Amino acid sequence: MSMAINSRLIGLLAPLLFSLLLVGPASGGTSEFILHLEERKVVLSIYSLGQAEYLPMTQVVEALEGRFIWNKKEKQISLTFAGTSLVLKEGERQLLVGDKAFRLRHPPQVVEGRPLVPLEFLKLALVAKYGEGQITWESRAARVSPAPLRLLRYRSYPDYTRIVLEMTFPLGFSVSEADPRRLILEVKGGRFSPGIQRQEVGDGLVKTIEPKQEPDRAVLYVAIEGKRGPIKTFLLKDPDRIVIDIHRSPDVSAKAAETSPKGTSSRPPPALQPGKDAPSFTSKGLRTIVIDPGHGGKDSGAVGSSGLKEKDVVLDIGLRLKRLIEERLPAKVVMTRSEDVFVPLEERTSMANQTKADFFISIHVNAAPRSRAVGFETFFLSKEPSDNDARASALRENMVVSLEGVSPKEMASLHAILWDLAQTMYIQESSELAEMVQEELDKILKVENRGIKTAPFFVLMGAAMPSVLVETAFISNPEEERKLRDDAYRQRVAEALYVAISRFKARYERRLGMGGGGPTS
Amino acid sequence: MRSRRRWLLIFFALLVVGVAGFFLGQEMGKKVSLPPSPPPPIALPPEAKRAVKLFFATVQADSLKEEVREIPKAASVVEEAREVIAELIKGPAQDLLPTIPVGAELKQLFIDPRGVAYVDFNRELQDRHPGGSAGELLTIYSIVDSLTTNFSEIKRVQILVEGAEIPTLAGHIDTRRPLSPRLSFEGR
Ligand SMILES: [Zn+2]
Repeated sequence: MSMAINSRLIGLLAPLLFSLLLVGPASGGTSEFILHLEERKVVLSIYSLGQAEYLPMTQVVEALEGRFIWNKKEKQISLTFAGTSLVLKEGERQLLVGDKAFRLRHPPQVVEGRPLVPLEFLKLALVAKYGEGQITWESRAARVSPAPLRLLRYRSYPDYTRIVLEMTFPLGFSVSEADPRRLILEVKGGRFSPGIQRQEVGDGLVKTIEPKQEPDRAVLYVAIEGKRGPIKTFLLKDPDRIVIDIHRSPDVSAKAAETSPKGTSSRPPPALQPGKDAPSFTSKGLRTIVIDPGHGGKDSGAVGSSGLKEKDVVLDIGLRLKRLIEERLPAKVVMTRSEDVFVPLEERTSMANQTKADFFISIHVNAAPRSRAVGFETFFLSKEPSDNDARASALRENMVVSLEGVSPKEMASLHAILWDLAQTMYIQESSELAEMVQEELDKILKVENRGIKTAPFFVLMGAAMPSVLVETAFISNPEEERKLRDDAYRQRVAEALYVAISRFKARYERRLGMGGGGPTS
Repeated sequence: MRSRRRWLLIFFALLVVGVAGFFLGQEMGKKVSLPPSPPPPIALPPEAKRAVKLFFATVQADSLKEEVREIPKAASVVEEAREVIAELIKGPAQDLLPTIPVGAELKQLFIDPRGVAYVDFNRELQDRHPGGSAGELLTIYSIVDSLTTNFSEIKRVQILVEGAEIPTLAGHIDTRRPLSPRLSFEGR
């Protein structure tokens, strides 16, 4: 009996004792609220006033990276961040989030000239900023997971433009294509990472891609400038991503096909390709070579101690190489830039895919200040883990297009085979080309041969063809910088690259059992 | 038993009065003093150290070589990882070359449950980078390798500048995604 009373008493006492413990500001007892905001960890101080827990408004504003306006005359406190504002009034329990009103259990207060807001305000502010789905609550902590929409990219192909939105986990989405000039992708609960920004595409089909963050969803507006055909949308895994293919209108594609014979730009391996769709080089030999002089415009690249700029040197070498190829080989050259202009990296590979080029060579000069580095080296992408992730996704996407109409089960196994084949094929070709480039540079230049290497170069990612990047010399080495100023030296570098390319072309064609097509000089 | 119950009741009554008085006073005067800023984290004994391997560039700028250094042992991997980056920024003691541009500073470091370390630098990492793919590779992988080698909890590294992913640091290497360590730089 008395036991029962005792426990009831303790039951009554407990909350009181608890609130007493919490109140204790006079005794200096502060506790903390920990916010994990994506990569950031922010610690906020909790103050207990009466039975409620409060946080300093300034800390909340700082944590949410918002703007804080305190109208002391109106006793109004507000927090504003992209798209939304939260408005409070000192001593009043109403909170306005945008145009929605909420009733707080405790009013904001001003203590010692500092505005304090109840803990529930932080929760509402977090939801307003990040959306409910992104937040995990703990008793004195909250975790905001990294923005689920982590990467937006696009690539232009002859018949379509592909837009890819990568996610950290799968989210529901819808595509509205009612407007022929504009496509709208909505991702429920999606949030763009800060790196996702407006993209100028301008490939004659897609004009721009514009992200817009709404409180509960992420929206992508795709402005169409050309005449478009069907739109295909699919969800892929590893990484999770939404892929939108915007096809050109069939009559426009037909016209384009007259100038460039058919063949899918995605270019699946020849072994599994029906004859008439075989990639162009199996029947015609190497026809199109893309030369990519690195950097340009606002991007000078590396700069030597006497002021020589990488962008100028590589453009000159690239143009010299173009002239050599055009004079001596039955091949077309496409330059990613022919003057001192800035060209984004994704556009360079897009250009190569769009023109159905047979291979891609990016020209750079190297730098490593304070080092004793000299010489030349050539890179390609490999199966190494460091290169693999990005390249795998680019190639797998290409596969999907060529495998439409295959059952999902067949698809899965075919997919794996094709992917392996394609990757091995490009790696093989790329490494052979890299080897020839190194051999020829080694013959012509009497400097250190730093060898063939692999690294995840941005400009080589997603190229649907063999591709290499050559670092012809170290501009950071004063002796090599001096040589690079010399026209004759640049011409020698271009000659070496030309010989490597013509050897590669000849070997390729011989292997495919084709006559002719070798160097004509 | 009975006297104990009475004692409890008295205690309870006193408590209620005390608490009510406290709240009343607060409501009337709103006189609450704010405690000072939170106390500093518990410091570990100064002698606790651990050896770490830092990766710097060779003079030929063709690979990374390790230099062993001691850092204070900290309560968490994140803190020790921050310390590793701080040491990396200081540069090598001898024979090797620094990989982090002067002025670059670490802003944030966070490790996600999948073992990806997000390492956020200020703008200087990019703005003051001298360029060239050799220099860029060395900068990136000195960060990636130094973190993944010393902490088994870190499998891959995502480099950020001013809180955002960057396409490349100096126009060459794709840094949009987390990078795996690159333990060999050998050409062939
Ligand atoms: Zn470069």
